[in-house]
Amino acid sequence: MTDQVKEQISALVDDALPQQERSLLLARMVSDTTLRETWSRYTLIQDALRNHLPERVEPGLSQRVMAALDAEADHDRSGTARPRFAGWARPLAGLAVAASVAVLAVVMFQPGDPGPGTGVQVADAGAPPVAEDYRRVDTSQWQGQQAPVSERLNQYLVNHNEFAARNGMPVVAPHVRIVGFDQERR
Amino acid sequence: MSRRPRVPSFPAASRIPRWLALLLTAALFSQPLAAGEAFDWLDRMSAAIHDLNYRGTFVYQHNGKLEAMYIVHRGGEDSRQRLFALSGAAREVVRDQEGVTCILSDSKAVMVDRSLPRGPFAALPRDLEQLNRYYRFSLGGTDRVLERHSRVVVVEPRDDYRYGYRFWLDREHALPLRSALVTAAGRPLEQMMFTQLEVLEQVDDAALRPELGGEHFTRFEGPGPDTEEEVPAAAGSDWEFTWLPAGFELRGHNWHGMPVSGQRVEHWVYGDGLATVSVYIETYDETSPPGLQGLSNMGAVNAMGRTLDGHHVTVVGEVPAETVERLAMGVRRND
Repeated sequence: MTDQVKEQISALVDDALPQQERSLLLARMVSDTTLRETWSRYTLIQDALRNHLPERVEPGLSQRVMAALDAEADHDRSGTARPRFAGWARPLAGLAVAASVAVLAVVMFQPGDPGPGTGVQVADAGAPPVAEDYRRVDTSQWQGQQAPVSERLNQYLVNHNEFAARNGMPVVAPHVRIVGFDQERR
Repeated sequence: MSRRPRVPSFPAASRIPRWLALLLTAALFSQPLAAGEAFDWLDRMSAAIHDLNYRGTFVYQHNGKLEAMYIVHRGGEDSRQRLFALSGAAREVVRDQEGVTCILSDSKAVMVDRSLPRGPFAALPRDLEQLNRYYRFSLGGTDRVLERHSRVVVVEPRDDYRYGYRFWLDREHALPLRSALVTAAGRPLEQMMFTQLEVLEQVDDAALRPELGGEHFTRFEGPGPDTEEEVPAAAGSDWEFTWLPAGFELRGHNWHGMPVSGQRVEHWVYGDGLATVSVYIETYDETSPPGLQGLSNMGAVNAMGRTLDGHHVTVVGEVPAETVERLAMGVRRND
């Protein structure tokens, strides 16, 4: 994604994108997941800055919002007459909730809840780790490294963070990088 | 009538206007005074971070990206902290005096590390004189963050082997409402800023309990350290370090198992009181999972890896790349 597109998305979040650009960007967002995710992230951050973050989100809401969004998109493609931007305002708001719910709904999982992402092979809790399991903790971004190397580095980093927090400059959240660096956004 | 003799004054002083003399005196003493005051603020910050109960939402900026996170912290004897992502992948970290639990929903894994230093979260080293050799401490005025008055504290490194810091400390509680990690040249590398923060009377256990996880998550838990106490550097080690940044001293040394691989690793911690690096050395052969070769980084954290005499050496720390590289290349095996 180019910086120009990021700037456009940022302007969209701020409701400062010129109408023509807005129209084109929204059209691209219909089919581009990355753009939608970026928009959702920016929206969430803006919400955070405005102190509007939800503390709890109803499980399953994301699916309903996405279904509503699909219906909205179908409705739009059918050519039903209505103001273009008025029509988009609601689905976009829905997207914001959907994407943040996709994150926060996971927070709501209870033990036993199958949750999304079914089909992942899971070892029994407490089972001894096996060699290929290294991929499972390769979640954070180490510049230019493959999964097994990142996995090893992540273990070191978690361990090091605690020693650094107790021996060096005090920080509020020593593990901020483990939580905040996302492999998917490489 | 004879006049009383005038008390002679210093000729030079008599030619300097009083206002200029005062200014020069102020300039002469203001530097160490400001450094002391800045350090006092950092000391207050350290106590606030560890001792207070608080919860809040903050944004974390790195490499042009922004992430939103939520933190809840219980201070004091029974310290416990929970941090989770509000944007990006759902991840959660809970830390207490027993260890760190990382719950990673994107890899359906729970990683528990109990090989940590014992005791409560530590306070800032109190040796300002020592730290002054490697950093300049100053006050950067006042600012408003979160609609609260904050005191800006600036910590600048005196060489290129460590980073600097900038803190916006809440005037009332001394919690960092905003902070930035900067290079020796003053370029910001990472920043975090609270967008909402509450200091609380108490934090319930429920608020500190992780919500991610469950039976469909794989749990990895490594053995703890070989001993509860840190081991002196020379005791039983085959390794030595031929280069360290000025002021870096040994802060910890032990052997422990890694959570996922279970691999036993020898671990050194070196630091100057603010910057800290870890050196991990483990046996290494063709059956071992691959280790880092060369440099890598995760934001401002740099790492350097190399193989040496059937072992793998990894140096990790929130320091510039040159620091971890020189340190790793200076590792030698004792004959």
